[in-house]
Amino acid sequence: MEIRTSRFGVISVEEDRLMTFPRGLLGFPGHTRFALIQTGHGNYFFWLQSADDPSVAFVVTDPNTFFKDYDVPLRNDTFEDLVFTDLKFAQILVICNKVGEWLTGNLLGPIVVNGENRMAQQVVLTEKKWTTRQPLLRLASEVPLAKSA
Amino acid sequence: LNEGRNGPGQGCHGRDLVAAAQTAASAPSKAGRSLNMLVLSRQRDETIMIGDTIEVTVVDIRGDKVRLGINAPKEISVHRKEVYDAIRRENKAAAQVKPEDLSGFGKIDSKQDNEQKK
Repeated sequence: MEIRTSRFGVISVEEDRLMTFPRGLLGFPGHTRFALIQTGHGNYFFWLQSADDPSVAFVVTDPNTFFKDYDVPLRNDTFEDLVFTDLKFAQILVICNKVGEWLTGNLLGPIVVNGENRMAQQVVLTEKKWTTRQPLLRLASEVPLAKSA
Repeated sequence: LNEGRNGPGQGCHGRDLVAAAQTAASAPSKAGRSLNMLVLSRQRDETIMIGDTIEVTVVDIRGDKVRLGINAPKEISVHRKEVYDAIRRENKAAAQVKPEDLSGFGKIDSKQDNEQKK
């Protein structure tokens, strides 16, 4: 199918490659179908593009690239909602934001994906170890800073 | 037991109700408290039921801190509202990111990129 996007023009995605968020994302309840797009930005970041709204897309990444000790305890309801047959299919993504010069990740509200059926859900962690704006990377500033010795 | 609903719909005199509603509307509203919010008084170890399946028990009260115990079916997710709101806000903000915001990607000072260069 073809998906109209405000950022990438019209993209073509096999229907069975779409991810479904049965409950939508927090703040975007009606958006249930997303495509995971790889762009030229290396292998670490993807775009999660809504198939229901051209203007809605998120940068996502695998949080374990940045935080080895990060893990998401899976609750029974998530296990059932996403129809897991085996936890080995579980993948975690986090939504990224640009805050000042920093690329941040929402590690408090990660996305759990069942790689087997491509169903996904944003969950809310109960422990407060992580934040919604966990710094991931400092983006190179527009004006190069003088290098210190 | 001191309980009541601020707003129309409860068995009070009409005039009092109107006055109460106006007072509530003009008073500085407390965070998250709506006109039609049901307000109940409970003591320690007392419980309220929400529907047939959700139980909220006052476990402990110390100063201005109340500890609540919640029994709910597992399909009902329970969160602190400020956490839920923070994640919704962050989703909204993150949806504004544009590819050009990340144009620094080629120049990103990441460990991985440095490793690739080596």
